[in-house]
Amino acid sequence: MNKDHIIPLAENPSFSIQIKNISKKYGNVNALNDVSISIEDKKIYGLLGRNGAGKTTLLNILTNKIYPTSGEILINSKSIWENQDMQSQICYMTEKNLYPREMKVLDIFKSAQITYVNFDMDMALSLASYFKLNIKKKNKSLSKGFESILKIIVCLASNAPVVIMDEPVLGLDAAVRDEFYKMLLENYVQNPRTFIISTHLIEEISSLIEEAIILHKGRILVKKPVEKLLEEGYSATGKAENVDRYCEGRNVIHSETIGKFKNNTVLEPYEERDMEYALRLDIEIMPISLQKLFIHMTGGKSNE
Amino acid sequence: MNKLFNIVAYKLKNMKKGIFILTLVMVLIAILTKITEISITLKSNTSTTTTSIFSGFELVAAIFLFIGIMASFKENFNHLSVNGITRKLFFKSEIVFIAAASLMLFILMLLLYVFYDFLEINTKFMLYSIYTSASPASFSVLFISLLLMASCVGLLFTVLSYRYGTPVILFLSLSPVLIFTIGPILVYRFHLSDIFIRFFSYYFGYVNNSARPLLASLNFIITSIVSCGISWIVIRRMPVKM
Repeated sequence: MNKDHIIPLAENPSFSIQIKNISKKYGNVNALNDVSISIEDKKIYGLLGRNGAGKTTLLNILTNKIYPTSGEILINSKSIWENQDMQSQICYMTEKNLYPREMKVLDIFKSAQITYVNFDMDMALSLASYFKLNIKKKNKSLSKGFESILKIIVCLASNAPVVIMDEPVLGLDAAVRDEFYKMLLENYVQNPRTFIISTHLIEEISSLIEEAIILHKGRILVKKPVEKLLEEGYSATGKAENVDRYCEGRNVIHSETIGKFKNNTVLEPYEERDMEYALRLDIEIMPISLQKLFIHMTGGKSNE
Repeated sequence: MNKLFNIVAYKLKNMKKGIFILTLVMVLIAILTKITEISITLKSNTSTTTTSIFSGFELVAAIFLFIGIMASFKENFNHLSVNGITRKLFFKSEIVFIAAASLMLFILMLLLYVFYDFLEINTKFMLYSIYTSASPASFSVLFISLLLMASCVGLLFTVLSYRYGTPVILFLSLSPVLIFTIGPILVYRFHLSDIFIRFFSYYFGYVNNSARPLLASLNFIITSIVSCGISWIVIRRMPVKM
């Protein structure tokens, strides 16, 4: 990617987003239940959650695609509802391709210029050529992977201060996904702004995101810096009775027994004396990945 | 303001292809009509010439706009909303677009009329046949207001269909059938024919046995405003269908 194409947004004001008591009901189903979080400026957020957790609903409300049943969203203390100035600062990559089927890729880039005044056409074209996306092709003839690439390019080239991506790597092969993560990081370093990325590929994105927002059954389960979250979560493995003794009074979020051995996942700050205690009990303490932590926090396989 | 005009320009650009096809079809009809006239005249042994009458430019333009607005709404709404355009700005752009498209179609139909006249095809504006006393100015106002009404009603139908889905689509598709089957029965059953006739006579500008084009224009414009008003109420909190 040509670094000259990145427009620095240093002169842009900061954008802090306050989501206040947002609830959304579909009939009798509570898709979101009193969600309140604040999104700070110039950070990469990972919005994580299991299927049906309410991620897309939250993003759709944030971008005015749907209305909440109650609550409000403010950007810099101004309501976002039907606020064109605020909506022009947010570029949203929807999971579904909503661009006109008959429209050519180049025309989709041109149409993005209507809203995003800082849209960098040169950058869009160079990214398209990098990813071998034919700009003369019609949207309807693009494969799933190229549809994702098209939407990613629009988001990155928009230079919008807030970029929201819902399942950005859908249909992309491993190599392209890797390229995308590198490109996103490079873009962020050159031009810091807020990214909110919703994905199921937690392992791949864990090194990229600064803060994780975990939604579960329409509620915010956790909103913490990834580093802190990983520091707090660890696994303790050893003889079952020793592990039980070690875990007494600790916040165990998952437990697994294989024969005489047990593996407990603990979520609480880990201290020096814990290490000494574990050594005495012959327990192995291991760090845990964000994905494992997420699975255990959201109830394992059953999603209960 | 700049954004508004960019959106309108984008919508007009999308309509370009449709207008081109419409023009092409109308030109082809003119040429084919002329060729048929000449060949029939040449084949006949008498000295009389065969002439055709072409009428209904207004209906062609009105139907084109009605269908065009209906067909383009969903794609435009989804596309522009994914690009961060609010419903308010989208609706404003839709109104400006309707006005611009109606004016464009009006001019196009006048040009086609001139072309038909140039080919010596006997051409008539349907509205002139109904409103015989209409001056060129009042005829233009009437024609444009008819196009505005067709577009605004098209917008209302498509907005209702987008928001409420299958039940509304079904109802709107069946409504012409219902109007022409149940309508006359109701009119006859409840002795509404007098009210019915009086209402439609007034609506189309027939007062005291004279056709008043400006009264009809006013009624068309009121229908357009009411349709747009309802459309705005529906659009205001309409979810984008993903």
